[in-house]
Amino acid sequence: MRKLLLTIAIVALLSLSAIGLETYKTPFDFPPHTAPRIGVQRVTNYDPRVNFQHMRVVVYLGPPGPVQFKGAGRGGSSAFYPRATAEIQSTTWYGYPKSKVDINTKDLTPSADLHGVYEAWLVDLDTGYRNSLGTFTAAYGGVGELQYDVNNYLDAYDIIEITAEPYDDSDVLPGPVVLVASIPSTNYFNPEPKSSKMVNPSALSTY
Amino acid sequence: MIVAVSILKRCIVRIVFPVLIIALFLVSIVAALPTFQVYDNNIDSYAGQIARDRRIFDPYTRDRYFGADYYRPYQNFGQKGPTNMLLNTGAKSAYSSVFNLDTNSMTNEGRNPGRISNWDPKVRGYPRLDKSVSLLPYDPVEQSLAQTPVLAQGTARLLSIGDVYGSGMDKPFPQTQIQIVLQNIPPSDDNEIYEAWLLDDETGYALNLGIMKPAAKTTAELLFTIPRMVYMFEHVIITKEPFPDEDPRPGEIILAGNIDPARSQLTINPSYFERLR
Repeated sequence: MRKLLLTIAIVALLSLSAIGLETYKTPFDFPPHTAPRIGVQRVTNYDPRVNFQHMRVVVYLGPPGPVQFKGAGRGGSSAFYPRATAEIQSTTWYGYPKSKVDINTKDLTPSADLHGVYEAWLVDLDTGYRNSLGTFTAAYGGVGELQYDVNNYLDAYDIIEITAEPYDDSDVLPGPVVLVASIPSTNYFNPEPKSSKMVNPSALSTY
Repeated sequence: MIVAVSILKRCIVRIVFPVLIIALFLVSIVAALPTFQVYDNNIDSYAGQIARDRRIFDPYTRDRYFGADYYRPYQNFGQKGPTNMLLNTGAKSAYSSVFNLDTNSMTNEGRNPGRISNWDPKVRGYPRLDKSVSLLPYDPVEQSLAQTPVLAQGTARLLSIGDVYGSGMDKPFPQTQIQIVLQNIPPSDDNEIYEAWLLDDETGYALNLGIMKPAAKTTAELLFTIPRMVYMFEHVIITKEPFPDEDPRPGEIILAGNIDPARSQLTINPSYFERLR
């Protein structure tokens, strides 16, 4: 009898913890303070205005009109068409703006067959200005590449084009367009600063 | 019979074998002696034991080719014309192909207008354009720095190497490097910035070279490389632009300079002869 009572008491004491199981939280249930609080709980003091407005897009250039296929080529089964990839990077920064355009082409008419070179352009549709990025030749297979680096920002441009130019071209204007792509417009988050947060509220006039 | 065989065996083992071995040894020595010093006629190798031996035992290698009695013929010495044997060569170098001008003048004729020359600057082995351009105010304004009147000015250097045919750089990738330094430029606001351009007279097209942030308010510099040739442009201009600028066209011209063509530069457009196919 005594043993029975003792056993019941011990079992009762041990089962007390089961009462709090629903609400009890172990230390493992609490994330450390370094864990990211995502969603609506996220607290951030990040202000995108402290960063320079940066653009990095990859556009795919294609022919401006219908393509006349020259054939599948030796042993090939798929029709090929001239195409290119352009990676455009631009940083708007008063101090040291850096921009970069990398173009790689495929299946252009080779320069030896075209009897000419290719020239890459950035075009601004609003003003009609065309910025020449330089010339390059296409090898057999239509492979060509161009790297353009400039201390400038390229936000204003809407279209990237590749034109065909004669060898040793002394005319700066563009020839027939071979490849074209539109550049997605930049959508920078540039909120109006609060006048109460400005040290010099009169500087707001510059925005 | 058995005794005779054993004597013969002993004789072979004790006398014939040693004699044979000694004879073989002597024959190989005698056979190797003539070629002990120079045992090759291979002139292509410059390293290894063969070449080392050759250098030690036969340092005057030219005798092998010409013989000891050879002397260099005293002909065609100091002439730039073709040799007497090969009439289509002469004065060959990395810079000229064939010396077949109808002159054999050895003197520098300088500015002699009667000088006959078939030199074509377009076919040089190393096509390059190296021009320095002085930049002066387009609309001169009175400026003074510490009560001293100053003139805004600048220098641009255009250096083109290579052409679309692949000469000069071994690859058809022409490159132009443009270096611009400005001084005493009028100070600009924080929302204004200078921008450099190449200007073409015929079409009025301006090629953007990049923006120039004033370093110490009155000086600015730019180093820009573009993969194209720029000999078709006539001017270098520096403009003042708002920052940031939605309009990529050139604004108000601050400085301008002319790229003067050199006397030796051929200005014919080669695309007149070669059209796009």
